[in-house]
Amino acid sequence: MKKVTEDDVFDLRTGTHQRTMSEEERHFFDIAGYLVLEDLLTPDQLRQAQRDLESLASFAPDTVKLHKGDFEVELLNVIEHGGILEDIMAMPRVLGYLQELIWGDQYRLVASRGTVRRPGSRRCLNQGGIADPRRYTRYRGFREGEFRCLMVTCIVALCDAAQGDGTFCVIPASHKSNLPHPYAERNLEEIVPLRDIPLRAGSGILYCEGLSYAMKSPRTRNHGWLSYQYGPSYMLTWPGCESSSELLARTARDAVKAHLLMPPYYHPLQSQKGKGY
Amino acid sequence: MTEEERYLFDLQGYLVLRRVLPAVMVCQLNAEIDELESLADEEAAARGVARRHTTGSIYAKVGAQPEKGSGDYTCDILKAGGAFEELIDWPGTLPYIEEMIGEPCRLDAATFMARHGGGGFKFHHGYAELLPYSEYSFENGQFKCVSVKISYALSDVGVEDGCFAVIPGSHKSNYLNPLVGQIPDPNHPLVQALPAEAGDAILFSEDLSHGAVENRGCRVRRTLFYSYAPAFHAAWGRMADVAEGFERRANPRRIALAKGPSPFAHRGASQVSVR
Repeated sequence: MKKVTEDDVFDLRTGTHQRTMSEEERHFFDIAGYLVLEDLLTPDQLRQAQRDLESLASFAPDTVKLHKGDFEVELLNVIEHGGILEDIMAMPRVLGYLQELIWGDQYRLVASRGTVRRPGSRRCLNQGGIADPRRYTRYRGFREGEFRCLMVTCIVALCDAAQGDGTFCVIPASHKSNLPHPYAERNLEEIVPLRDIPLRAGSGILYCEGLSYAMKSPRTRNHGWLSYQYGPSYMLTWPGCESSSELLARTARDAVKAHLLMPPYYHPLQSQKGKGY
Repeated sequence: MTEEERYLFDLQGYLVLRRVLPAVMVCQLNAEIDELESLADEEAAARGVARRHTTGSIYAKVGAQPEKGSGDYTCDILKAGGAFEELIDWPGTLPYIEEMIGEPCRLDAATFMARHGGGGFKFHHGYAELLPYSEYSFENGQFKCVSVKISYALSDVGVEDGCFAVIPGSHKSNYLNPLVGQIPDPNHPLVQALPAEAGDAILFSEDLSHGAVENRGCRVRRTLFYSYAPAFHAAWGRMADVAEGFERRANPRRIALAKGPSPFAHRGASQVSVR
């Protein structure tokens, strides 16, 4: 008689052995904590995204939270705008990575953001690594070659960000650091291991949120960015990023988007073959 | 936690706390269960305390069921209100939970379970190191578990009564667990049966392989399970839903645990770009 295993009850090893990344990408992400996704958007998509972000930054509906600071305009829940800002959350190229990095098909969208950064805007260096108090950002990789990251972010540049000019920068490998970084009081330019990641407009970076990262100030003109944050299926939605009924209605027939916007869950419906407990 | 408790929890993946519920509390909880069990399934469901009968569960081994009464079942118990709400922030156990999780936490499920003679519960977990939501973790000298459960005994339960059983140390296992899917054999060298008296609590990492030995007696095993997780975790379906009026009755700590604290706010957050 076949012995009943836990796999017969739940698909507890969801995503195990699913390979959607090349060996080189797997190695790079494990070591560095990020991947660069060149030309994530087509030129048309880029133009639409630039236009929509600019429009939202000047007027946002109630479903999109707008915060205007001295040097930055921040927008939360940008997918509510629809169009390309909604479509980017479900780009097959990104989702392929999430499948392997998070937990098979059990990933969901936690937050979507947009930012317009003016010269003078800068973001401090995140703590990153084990010392980061944000437990939900943890990198998790195992000797079996499986990833089970918590929050993974895809940031998309809507403008060229050349070396030192509003660039996204990281301390590679800091997602595994056992010690807090000693750079709390330093200018970004003085932090030796911090590496700029220059990007062409329309390209993106997929990174473990547990990485130490920052953004340098744009030199002369405004820079637009989008970011989409994903987590395992049981991770709650970021406050302010709850889906409106309109958004849910218009995405209901799109299996990929609907999957991303499902309420948090531990096991998919019907995956528990028995009842009780 | 004392040094010894910390050592034992790390080593074994569980802790037994004796008599954390006073006799009067145990009586009250049992009286409320008795009252619920006097209701038909439909009446209980109408109160929000729907019974899930465990016949057919791949985890549960169901024995002979009584001709009358509710039989083996589980239910989400906070919908019943009453004394069950007091256990959300029980002072004898919550400080342990907070230390084991190591950051702001929430209640993600509260269930009651009844097991009759012949019943048992198969081993589960204890090999699933790839299962992110049950992870046992220890970082920088602190516990960082992502799921810790409390099993409160509401009846005396010896080995012959189908007590809780674990595989000590299995929360750190790196290999598939050959005992998963089996009813725990209390005589197996890896298995630790954990008899309890009414009012005792067993706190365990969900990553620990756990189950219940077969109830060979005729006493019904009554157990409450309260489950906690970090704030960014969702509740298990409706298992942490509370009864009407809870927010008027409960203290702020209880409300915060049941609703879950702000999921992405953390101590020291000013050091980082939480945005």
